[in-house]
Amino acid sequence: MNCCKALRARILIVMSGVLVVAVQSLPAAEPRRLTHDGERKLAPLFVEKGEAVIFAAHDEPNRVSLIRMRLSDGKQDRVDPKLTAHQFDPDVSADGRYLCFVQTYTSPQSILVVRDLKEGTESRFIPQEARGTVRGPKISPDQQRVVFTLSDPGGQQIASVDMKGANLKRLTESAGTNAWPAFSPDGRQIAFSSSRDGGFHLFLMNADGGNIRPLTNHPLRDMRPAWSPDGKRIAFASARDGNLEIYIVNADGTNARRVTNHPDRDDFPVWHPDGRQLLVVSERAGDSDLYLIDLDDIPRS
Amino acid sequence: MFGFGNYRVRDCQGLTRRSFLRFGAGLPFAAGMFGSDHLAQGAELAKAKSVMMIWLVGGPSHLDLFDPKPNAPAEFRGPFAAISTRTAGMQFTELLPRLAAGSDRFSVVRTNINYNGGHRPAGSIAWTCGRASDGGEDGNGKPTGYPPHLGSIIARSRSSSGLPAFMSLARGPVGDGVGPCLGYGGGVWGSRYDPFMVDCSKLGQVSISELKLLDGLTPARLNDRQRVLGELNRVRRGLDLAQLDQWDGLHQKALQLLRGGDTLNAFDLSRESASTRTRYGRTSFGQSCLLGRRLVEAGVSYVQVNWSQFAEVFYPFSDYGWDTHADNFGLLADWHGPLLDQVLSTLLEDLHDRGLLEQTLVVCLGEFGRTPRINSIGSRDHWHPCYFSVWAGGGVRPGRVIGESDARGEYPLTNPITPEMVGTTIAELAGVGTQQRAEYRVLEGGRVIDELL
Repeated sequence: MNCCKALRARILIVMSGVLVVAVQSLPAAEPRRLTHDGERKLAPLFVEKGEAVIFAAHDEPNRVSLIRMRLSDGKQDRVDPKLTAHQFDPDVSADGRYLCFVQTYTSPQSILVVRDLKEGTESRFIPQEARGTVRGPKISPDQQRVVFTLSDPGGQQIASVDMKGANLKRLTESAGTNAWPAFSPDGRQIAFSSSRDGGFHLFLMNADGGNIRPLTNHPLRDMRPAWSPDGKRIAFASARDGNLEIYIVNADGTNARRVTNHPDRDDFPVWHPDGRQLLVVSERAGDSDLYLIDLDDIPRS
Repeated sequence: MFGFGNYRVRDCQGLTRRSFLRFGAGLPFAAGMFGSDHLAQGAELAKAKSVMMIWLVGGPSHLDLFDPKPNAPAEFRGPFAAISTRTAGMQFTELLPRLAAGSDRFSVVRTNINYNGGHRPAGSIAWTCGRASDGGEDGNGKPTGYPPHLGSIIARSRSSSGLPAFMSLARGPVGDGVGPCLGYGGGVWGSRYDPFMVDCSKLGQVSISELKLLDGLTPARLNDRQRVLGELNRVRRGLDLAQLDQWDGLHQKALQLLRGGDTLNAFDLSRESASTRTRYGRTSFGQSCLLGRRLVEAGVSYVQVNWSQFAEVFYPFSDYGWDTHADNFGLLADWHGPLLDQVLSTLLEDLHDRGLLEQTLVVCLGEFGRTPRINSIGSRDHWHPCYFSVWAGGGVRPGRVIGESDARGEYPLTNPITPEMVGTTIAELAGVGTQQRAEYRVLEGGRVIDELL
């Protein structure tokens, strides 16, 4: 721990009278590995007040499944053991009533599925185009809408539907590619990534699609924004240092700092409900596994 | 100076070695007119004891990987930024940071072309470096109408090292939803020259589907000679005449494996260190590339590693590998880009560290690229007029970019690199010279991609 803290020191380099400041914010503790199976994983999230996680895994040669893992003992179970279609990109409402995810439909189409666990019903949204796809659905905090990436006529845009999969609203209509929307905890804003100005940068917009403004503007890609539970910070994955690392930026766009620093890929950040830990998918041991990062020792600026 | 076809050949100082090769390749059946000395000069090119073809089935997007166009209009360029590589003047997209850092180990061709925009015909053309004589895939053709696969050609030219000389790593024949590419094997030469198919799982478990007929036979038990011979005799007694031809092929392959002796250890990935296996990643594609390296070490002449529906699956529209008609940018960011970057860079590094790269020609490509213009649903479709290939080792001069595509990546600005040229270059580097190609009546009309050497 002490060694790692020492590594966290800021590095000052004086060159020819010009002060060059290189700030490296390294985690004080090594991320804690939660899985060891090495199967390709994506889009994890905490559920059940942080006592379990759900993620998608390439768990069979021809199948990508939703897996629920209990954190107390690491026990894993498929969410839908009998389903043969692929499932991925899960989200669960704050009260646990709704589960939504993407499911393959007719090749090469994928659809949004919203499952009401209380009523035992399921609603679907199916893209218009035979090759249209849905990715990355997120349920609004008030549990009235689901926002997602829609690839359909008009390009790849951010859109939303109600909990029945109806009343489609297109929230962006821009050039380039839009992806990875995420509601702020108060439900008033959506963070997303867009290449409208070149590469993938983070943007914010109001929940109705208005007032789109940039949050980051680095030449290399920033993607997969995730709001902290208090709404003050946004974690994201970025290639700005070469390979993918996890960063945090204040919700006003200031004070972007790096959380991970490893030559292998760190990706898919999500916040623990306590706001003190990040769950990520990392290939730091070569394989693809879930890791938990303690943020307590990460400098806030 | 005089021009021969599209290529200039010096006549006042005599033929250069390379121009001779171009000339000879242009007139394959005239090769016999030259004396053996000339042919010996051609053999100087033969540096590759083995060839590893990394086959990216489905058509990977050239603009989003090895030929970015950051200054193209938004409807073309895609969202991925261009990054510098170790090679002066060459950029990749940010999806390939490891390959960018190691670009001094390989060269990139940016002006490959194919003659067809469908997976099966284009795949067959790319593998056989020629076209079918019976109408091909779109004309209800048959495998017997195709020229032999490049692996079949090279395998035929070599004496057997014990293991089959042409091995293809996938769970089955590679193609699309309609069926396998017909140019997968011996073609007009017959099934005797088909590849030996091997499946490698993400855990590194190897199975040989063609030998499943032999009850209980696994690679680990192939060393049990008595058992294998007993199984072969038992199977033969149970066959009728119609099945005998098929059995003969099976028999030959099983005996070939038996003769391999210790080389059978090549199938056993558990002999690799945990760190090596981890570097390749726990995916079928990663472990297959590691298996490919072991097969090359064991002397297999031609190994094709297939990124296919059998190797990697995410969801149905990516079942055919890189066929990203939908969600191209999401798939490449989540899955395809990082996986290719990790595995291909590791393979080249590993071959280099073991001193194998000089004698192993690695070629990575698909049947075509993807449309530079982004389609109506924000993705990319098939594009065969211009795409990329990656070349390393086996006599290829590394750290170069060959050819230039136009500002939108739609068409070559410089000489297009045809499937025949790809095949001729691989064949030459693997020692199948002009005369032998003429005898085999293959790869007619091709020439060596001189700029790679």
